[in-house]
Amino acid sequence: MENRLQFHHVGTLVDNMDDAIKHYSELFGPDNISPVIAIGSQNVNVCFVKMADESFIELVESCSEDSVVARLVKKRVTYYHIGYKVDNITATVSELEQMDYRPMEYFYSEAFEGKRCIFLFSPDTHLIELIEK
Amino acid sequence: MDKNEVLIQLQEIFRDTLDNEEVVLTFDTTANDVEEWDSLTHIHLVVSIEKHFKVRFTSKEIQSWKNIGELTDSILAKK
Repeated sequence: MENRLQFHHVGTLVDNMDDAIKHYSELFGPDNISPVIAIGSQNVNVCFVKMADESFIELVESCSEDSVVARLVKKRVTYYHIGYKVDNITATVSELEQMDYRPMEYFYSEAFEGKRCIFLFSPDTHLIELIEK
Repeated sequence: MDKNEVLIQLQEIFRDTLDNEEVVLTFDTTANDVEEWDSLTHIHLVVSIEKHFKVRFTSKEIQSWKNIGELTDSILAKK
């Protein structure tokens, strides 16, 4: 693949962000927990738990009871996507489409300084997120 | 295969994929009419539909259907 994917995070759903932060603070220390960031376009709150340089767990909490994310929580889905940083997001999406990946719609994320992001499904319906560097 | 046959088979695919035996489809059904049909499950539905009917949709087509009638037409156009 020409456009390299750089691992950034594993996204996992949480019922309650305060409870999750308390738990992950005990596991990894409060210094490794980011502030909570509201992502308006996705209707979620997120928080990053640092595992290593540029490697995080992304805690994701739904902001409404009938969102896509809320439905996944109800189904007891936990870990549900892997996030990768990429240099050129449109070129990477094109390349992944050639590999039968299915892109969703681009959005701009407050979690990444307003950079462009997109979710895609692999041919086996694994969900990934690309984040423009 | 005609439109009604496709519709019946689609209904089974929707019931299996969305794990809801109460889903009833008509040609006018939209995502707003089926609680579990959202942007994520849409892709799961597309993959199941492609496997069942042995067709392949483009990314543009996947985002273009306004209702089940248009999806049905799209399937038949590829058969």
